Order: sequence, then C-alpha cells, then structure tokens
Amino acid sequence: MPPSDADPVVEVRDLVRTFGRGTRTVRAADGVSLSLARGEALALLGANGSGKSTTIKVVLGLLAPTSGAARVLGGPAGRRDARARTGYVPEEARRLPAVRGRELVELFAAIQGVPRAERRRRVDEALDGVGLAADAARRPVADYSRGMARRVALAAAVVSRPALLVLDEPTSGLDPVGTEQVLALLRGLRDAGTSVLLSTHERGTAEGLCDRAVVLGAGRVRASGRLAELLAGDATPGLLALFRRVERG
Amino acid sequence: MASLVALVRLEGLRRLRAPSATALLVGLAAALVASLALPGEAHGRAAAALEGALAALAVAAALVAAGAAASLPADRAAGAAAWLAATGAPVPARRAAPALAAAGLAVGVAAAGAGLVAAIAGATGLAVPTRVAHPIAVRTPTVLVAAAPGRAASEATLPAGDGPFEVDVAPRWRRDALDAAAAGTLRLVVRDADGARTLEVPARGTVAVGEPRGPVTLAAADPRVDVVLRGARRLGPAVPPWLNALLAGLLVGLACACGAPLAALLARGTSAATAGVATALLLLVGATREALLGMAAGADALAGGAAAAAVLRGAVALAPDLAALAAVGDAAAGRALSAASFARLLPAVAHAGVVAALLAFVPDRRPRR
Ligand SMILES: Nc1ncnc2c1ncn2[C@@H]1O[C@H](COP(=O)(O)OP(=O)(O)OP(=O)(O)O)[C@@H](O)[C@H]1O
Ligand SMILES: [Mg+2]
Repeated sequence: MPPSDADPVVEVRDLVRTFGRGTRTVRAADGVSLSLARGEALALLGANGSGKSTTIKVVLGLLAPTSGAARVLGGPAGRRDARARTGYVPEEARRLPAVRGRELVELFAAIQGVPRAERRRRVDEALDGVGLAADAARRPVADYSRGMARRVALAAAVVSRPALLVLDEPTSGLDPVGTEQVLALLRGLRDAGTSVLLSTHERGTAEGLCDRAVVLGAGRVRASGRLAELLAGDATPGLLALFRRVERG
Repeated sequence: MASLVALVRLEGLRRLRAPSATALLVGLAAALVASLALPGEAHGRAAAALEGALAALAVAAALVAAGAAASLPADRAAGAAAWLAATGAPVPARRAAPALAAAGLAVGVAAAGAGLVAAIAGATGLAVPTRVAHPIAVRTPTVLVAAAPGRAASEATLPAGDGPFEVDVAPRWRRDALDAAAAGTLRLVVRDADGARTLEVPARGTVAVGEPRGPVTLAAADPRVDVVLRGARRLGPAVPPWLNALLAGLLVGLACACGAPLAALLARGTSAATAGVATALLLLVGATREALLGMAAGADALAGGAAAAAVLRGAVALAPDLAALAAVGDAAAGRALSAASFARLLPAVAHAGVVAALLAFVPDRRPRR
C-alpha cells in the first residue's frame, strides 16, 4: 500500500535502546512510543538524560534500536530516501572546521537534492530565514558564537524544504529575537506541511510551535497529549511545574 | 552524484584551508628553488635540477595524499560525522570524498609544480634535452663475462636499428678480484659493423654507445668484473622538454594519489596523525620496494634474518607498488615518457581500487548494544 497523507510521518513503537553491558547497562530509551502526523509539530520534553536525544537518533537511523521499531516517512528509520527528506539539527553546535557558513548550507542543499539552478536562491532564503547576515555567512563556522552555529545548522536543515524536521534543542543558545525568528520560520514550514519533531527545555519554544508534547523520564513516556492540557493553565514561565507534576506521577 | 561532487568540493576546500597546506606549499617552493639552484655544469645540472624538483613534488604529493586521513577523525570528534550520516548522502560518497579530494589535490600539486618547474627551466636554459626512447628487449639476467683461463666469454648481441644507442649497466665484482673495486670504472667492449672499441663507463648507470651500424655485440673487458646488462634502448626524435617534465609531474602525482584511499581507510580506525604517518611510510615503502625486496633476500641469508625479511616483505605487500616513479629518473635522463610509463601505474591503481572498495563498502562495526 502506498503511503498516504494519513499515515504518520514518524512512528516509534516500544523503543528500547540500551548502552553498555551487564550491571552498567543504561536504558536510555525504555519502551518509548510516539507518532507524528504530517504537518504536525511534536515537542519531546524531559529532564537531562531522560532519553530525548537517544529517541531522536533512532528516528534518524543514527542508532539502531535494541528492540522495538521506528518507522519514518513510510519505511524503517534510516533509509536513504527518508534521510534525503529529513532535516536535522544536532544537539550541540557541531561544526565542520574550516568551512564558511554559506558553504555549509550550500553543501546540505546539494546533498539533499536542491536542484542546482535553485540552490543560490534557496541558500539565501534559508540564511535569511534564520537571521544569519550575509557577512556572517562568509566567515568560517569554527569562529561562530554558539547561537550563530545553531542558526547556520538550522539553515542547513531547512534549505531543502524537507518533509520532516528533527531538531534537538533548536533554540538553545539563541537570543530572544533569534528564538522568535526561528520559531516564525518553523511555523511557516509546519503550516506548509512539514512535520517537526523537536526536543527542548524551553517552554516558549514548545508553546510557540507545538500542539502536542511527549514528556520523557528515565527513558519512559511519563505523559503525553496536548501541550496546553499538560501545562494545565500553569502560569509560571518555564517547564518546572510540568516536570514536578510528571515526577510525582 | 550531486552529493559526491559537493562533498569532494567541500573536502578540497578543507584541505586547502588547513594550516598545514600553507606550510606544505612554502616547503615545496623552497625545495623547488633549491633543486633549480643545484650546482653543477650544463647537462648534468639540468638533469639534477629536474630530478630534484620531481622528487620534491613526489614528497609533496605523497603528503597531500596522506592528508586524506585528516577529515574522518575530525568529523568523528566534532560530531559532524553523525550530522552528515543523517542526510541523504550515500555512505560510499561520504567515505570516499576525503580520499577523492586528496587524490585530486595530489595530482594537481604535482602537475602544476612540474609545469612551473618546466617553465622556469626553459627560461633559464636548464631544460633537459629529451628524445623518444625505444626500449630493446634484454633477457634478464644478462651477465657479460670476459674470457679468462678456464672460462669462456659470455656476450650479448642486440639487434640493428637507427639512432643513438644506450645501455644500462651495473658491475658485478668477482669474488676473487675484490681489489678491482678500487679501480672504480668499468670497461665495456662494443663491436659493430665498423669494428670494436672499448668504452670506459661509470660504475653504474647509463652509457651512450654512439650510433653503431648493424647489430651490436657487447662484451665485458675485464676478467675481474662481470657486467650486468639491465636495459638497452635506441633514441628517436626529440620531444619538447617541458612536455616531458609536465608528464613526469602528472605521473608522480597519480602514483602518490594512489595513497589517498589508504589514508582514509586507516583513518576510519585510528587518529588522523597515525593514519597520515602510516600512509606516508607505506608510500615510501612502495617507492623503494625493489631495494627493500633486495634487502629481504639479503636478510634471508643471515642467521636470524628471516624475521627481518618477513617484516620487509610484509611492508612491501601492504604498500602500493610505486614503480611508476621510475618516470623521475627517465625524465631526468632525457628519455621521453610513453604509454608504457603510465602503464606502470597499474599496480598502484589496482591497490587504490581495492582499498577504496574496502573504504566505501565495508560497513561500520554495528552500534554497541
Ligand atoms: N553513546 C552513549 N553511550 C553511553 N550512554 C549514553 C550514550 N548516549 C546516551 N547515553 C545515556 O543515555 C541516557 C539518555 O541520554 P540522552 O542523550 O538521550 O538524554 P537527553 O534526554 O537528550 O538529555 P539532555 O536534555 O541532557 O540533552 C543518559 O543516561 C546518557 O548517559
Ligand atoms: Mg539531548
């Protein structure tokens, strides 16, 4: 059966992923299930070490599941055609040394199949969308500040207009203006049909983009549902109250 | 394909912008200037200059090729490897890109350097006069032995032809006449339709025999020294020296570029420095393999030498065969390079192909459970 719009873009079932052996085994993901529909944005929330990045890496095919399964864009996670339609921003501001910002975005445009004739314009658009100025884009990525590196990584992820965006803490290190700029860009992509799976510790990022959230704790799904309901009218600025409630069970 | 092109381009930029690239270029420029300024007179000086310049280019190209080891460990450390692994770039393209970029740069450095050297040599009167060389088949080993009491002479006769005639010879001292080594020269008797004459030749190397008429018979003149005949050729028309220098640079670059996949393969399992140094050493082994195999044969004869011989043979077996670097000597000696010169690249290219296949297609260790 060919994939249809109604099929989830990401579907994770009973995912277990362990690291290490014997008494030192860490169950980074311990039975995680989640699904993401087309044009939907889902927030992965949870304390440090709760398994957000591990889940994301399994979805990208960078880690093999110990058990359980992840399906992405109609096939098992990690297939090449799915990777070609996925944009990823890794957790840290990771860098290819000695490459300039613009060159990095051009590289991802070429790799992810943006036609040559359109590359220039699309790279400009992506850099503009993340608010990276042209003169900054001419400097080596290795010299970037944390927030600039984040922005160029986002530009590289969105330049090919992927069907799926997987963003591991996309706004960490961004200034408030940058955060709003990036959220506006992501909202536009989401409304145009891109699915977004993102992890974050920032309430503003989750609320600014996502309807639904999955809260992880020690590798398990502690809570999931509409973000507004999970926050339950909590008026405090961060996610502290939600985390406390989830911990109490 | 688009992603391979983009990745190779990016790798090329990374290599060119690495701090070591500047150091390498400065070192190479110094070596080229030094070789062009070598002392000596006229013909000998031109030959020495070209040989020195090509040797410097070979070293530079080998280092550039070994630079293919730099990218994969750096990407691993920075997490960029995982970043690229999450894209649609095919795995073979991602792994092969550093090797392809380094190989391309190695060829570029050697060819461009040789072009520059040829231009400077031409402008300063240091060009090596070059002629087409037609090799004459010589059965190996061909040893010329002078007649002595109780021993018949052993001679070699080579076919007739037009043009100047050259032979490559080396002495082999008889056990009972080691004092002859002190003499330092070697004498060769050459007989053709015009009669016989004796040539004094340097103890090792290439001897111009003039333009003999009819078949040529070569004989050893000294009963204490046998002459090993290694090769012979007739020289044809002249070719432009700059063209030969350029071809030699290209050949040197191509030979050294064959080390790039090896560097990238080693870098999958080790640090960049380890992989780079190991590659440079293996290229050195590949360039000196004949001598190393000779040393291995010598070591076999020594008590306890078998292990040393095995080590030498093992290193030679792992290294690419850089027989094509013989082009350096040919170009310096004024012999035009030919298709046969390029054919000597085949073993190194085959080595690179096998290594590249291992690099691109052997999967990573499965992720830890
Ligand atoms: N490669 C690895 N080897 C060993 N343990 C790992 C590895 N990767 C993750 N872990 C462990 O798995 C658990 C979950 O890590 P993960 O990175 O998924 O957390 P996270 O939710 O993304 O945390 P953070 O909010 O700090 O980014 C942690 O205990 C971590 O130590
Ligand atoms: Mg994380």
